[in-house]
Amino acid sequence: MVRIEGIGKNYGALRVLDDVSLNVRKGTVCIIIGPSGSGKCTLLRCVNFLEPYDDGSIFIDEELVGYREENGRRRPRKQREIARMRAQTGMVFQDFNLFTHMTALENVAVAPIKVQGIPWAEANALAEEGLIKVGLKERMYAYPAFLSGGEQQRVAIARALGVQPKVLLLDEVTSALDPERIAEVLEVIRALAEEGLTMLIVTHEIPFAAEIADQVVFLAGGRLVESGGAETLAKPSTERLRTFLGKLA
Amino acid sequence: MFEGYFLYWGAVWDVLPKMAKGLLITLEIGVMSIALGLGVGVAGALARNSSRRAVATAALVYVEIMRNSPSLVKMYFIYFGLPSLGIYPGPLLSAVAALVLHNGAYMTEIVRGGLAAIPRTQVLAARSLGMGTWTTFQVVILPQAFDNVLPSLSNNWVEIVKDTSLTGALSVREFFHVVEEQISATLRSFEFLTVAAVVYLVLTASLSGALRTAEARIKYRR
Amino acid sequence: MEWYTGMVAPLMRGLLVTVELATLVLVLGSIGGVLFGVLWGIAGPVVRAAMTIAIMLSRGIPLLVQVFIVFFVLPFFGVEFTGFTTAVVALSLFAAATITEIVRGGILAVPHGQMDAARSVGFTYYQVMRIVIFPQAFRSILPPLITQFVFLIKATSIISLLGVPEIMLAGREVIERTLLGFQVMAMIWLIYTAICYPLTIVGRRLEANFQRRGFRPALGEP
Ligand SMILES: Nc1ncnc2c1ncn2[C@@H]1O[C@H](COP(=O)(O)OP(=O)(O)O)[C@@H](O)[C@H]1O
Ligand SMILES: [Mg+2]
Repeated sequence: MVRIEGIGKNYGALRVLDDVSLNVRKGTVCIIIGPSGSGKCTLLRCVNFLEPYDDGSIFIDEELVGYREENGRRRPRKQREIARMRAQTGMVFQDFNLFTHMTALENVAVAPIKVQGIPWAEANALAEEGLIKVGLKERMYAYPAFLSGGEQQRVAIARALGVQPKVLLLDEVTSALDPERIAEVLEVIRALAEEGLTMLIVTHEIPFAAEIADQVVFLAGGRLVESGGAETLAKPSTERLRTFLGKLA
Repeated sequence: MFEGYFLYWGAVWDVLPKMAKGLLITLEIGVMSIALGLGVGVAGALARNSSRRAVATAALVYVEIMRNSPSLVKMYFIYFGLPSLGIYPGPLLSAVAALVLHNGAYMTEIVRGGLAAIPRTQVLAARSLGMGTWTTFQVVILPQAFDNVLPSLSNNWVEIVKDTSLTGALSVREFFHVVEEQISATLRSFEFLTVAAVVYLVLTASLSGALRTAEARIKYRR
Repeated sequence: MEWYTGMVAPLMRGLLVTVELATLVLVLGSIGGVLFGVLWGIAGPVVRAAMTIAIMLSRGIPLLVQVFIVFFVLPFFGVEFTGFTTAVVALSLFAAATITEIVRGGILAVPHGQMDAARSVGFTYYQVMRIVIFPQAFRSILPPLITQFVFLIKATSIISLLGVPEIMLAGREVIERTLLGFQVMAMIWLIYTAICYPLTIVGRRLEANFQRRGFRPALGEP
């Protein structure tokens, strides 16, 4: 479903991602871990094409993200097409980024209406359903400023799912939350995993990761250092991952 | 364009001493208004926060009356209005009084905002160290309030410097009054207005530049 | 009756000119400011630098000097204006510059994450701006915009120095005739307050309302 082939990304002279390859099959959960600054966030942003990448390729359902190949040369896709492809990958951010001027319901409904042209009433009904699914039946008409962090993050998940993406990208979604609020968000993610949603998840919650992971990759300094199944977290084979996990524990 | 008009900067050069005198008066009015206005602002802010209802209300009324009308109205009120009551303030006094009253209201709100922005916990922390009211005010509140208000104060002071150009209407012989006079006398409007624009730009830029430097120093100190 | 024809009627005629002038300036200035502000949002570095310089000039030079520049300098370019038209042009340019700055501040005040989130759900750049950035910017712009409106209404008073018969000049004429300086200026003061104070209140209400809903205000005039 998501195939990343040797991508590289530079910020000026800084090489943030270097030759990272990864294959996430449909219906599986890929956990990405690594120290701060290792490029996890950037990797997800590249998959969503919020950042253009410099080398390699990212395919979603065999469709190249962000670029099109034209007689052997690579050109950026048109604005519209990039926007359409972004809707195939929902993204949830560390600090929620809910649209502050819209209610929870509007946050979820706006993209289906404006991006996919779903009729207003239908989109609202779907949005309500989505919010009920993340346990926010009572808070649908609240503005983000009146929601707790955990509630905001659940709205953000519902919003990302609103456009029915093929893949959900979650970037340290519990890092800005109080410990009591973390559980409610993880609960939602666990349910999504059980439903068989394809996800790429950046997280520092190792026990949780071990529980839902089909695949684990460890990034350090922009390079893929180790990857494997869920058992990787229990029995790391590289020294670097072992030290990293040791520090987290 | 410019048909039959030749630039003659000598026209400005010839009256440089007059212009310099005007500039001096402009600076005088500016400095006095800023200094006295700041005094009014601090007093006003304390009055606004007073626990005595009457005092707080009076301060609020003062602020609203001043902020919702032009400074020129106050200049005219003092210079053209008070004489009908038998009070005859001169041009310079009228100008400064009007600018102080008008901008004192703005500074009241600026200082009050600066005080309000200090977290309550700062006071509690000072108290917990055994500081009294005055020590707390002096050591904790005042320095932090000063940091908070500098950017807004800088804006207001630039407004004051620009507003001195209106006092010519009261026949104060400030810089722009001299400029207007010279334009009527020589018809060299282009030259004189260019000089005026540059002089005011330098004045306002150096004022806000100086305050920004002060601000940077303070930030560094933190 | 004499009191009415001698004092109130001339002042009302002056007020009409003030209102006319202020309305034109607010409308033209807002249109210009929003257009330039949006243009700033999409312009390259050269245009942005030019706009920054224009804004700097409009802020650093007293408005009266700017009005004189329009009045005396535009004729060199073959454009000759009456006092009233000069006032409209000069004040509208000033208004546009300051409102551009407010709009720019409003756009910049929208947190960057909003842009990311909007793009990630599949909005095109145009949709991002229209659906997410501008509505949020607009909310934070409104309070400082209203403050600026009050500032501009007050600023029309300086046009009396150009001989445009708005309320301040009407007042001076009445004073010269009747010597009732105190009454006349008190009345003008009251009239300005009656116009500006309600606006100030509306601005404050909006700001409180927006803040309650978690919008942040953009920085504007102090
Ligand atoms: N917009 C940017 N410009 C320059 N450098 C950036 C930018 N965004 C991220 N970086 C750098 O890229 C590196 C990887 O960042 P990131 O992907 O956020 O790491 P992680 O999410 O693993 O903590 C860091 O060194 C960071 O400083
Ligand atoms: Mg990160």
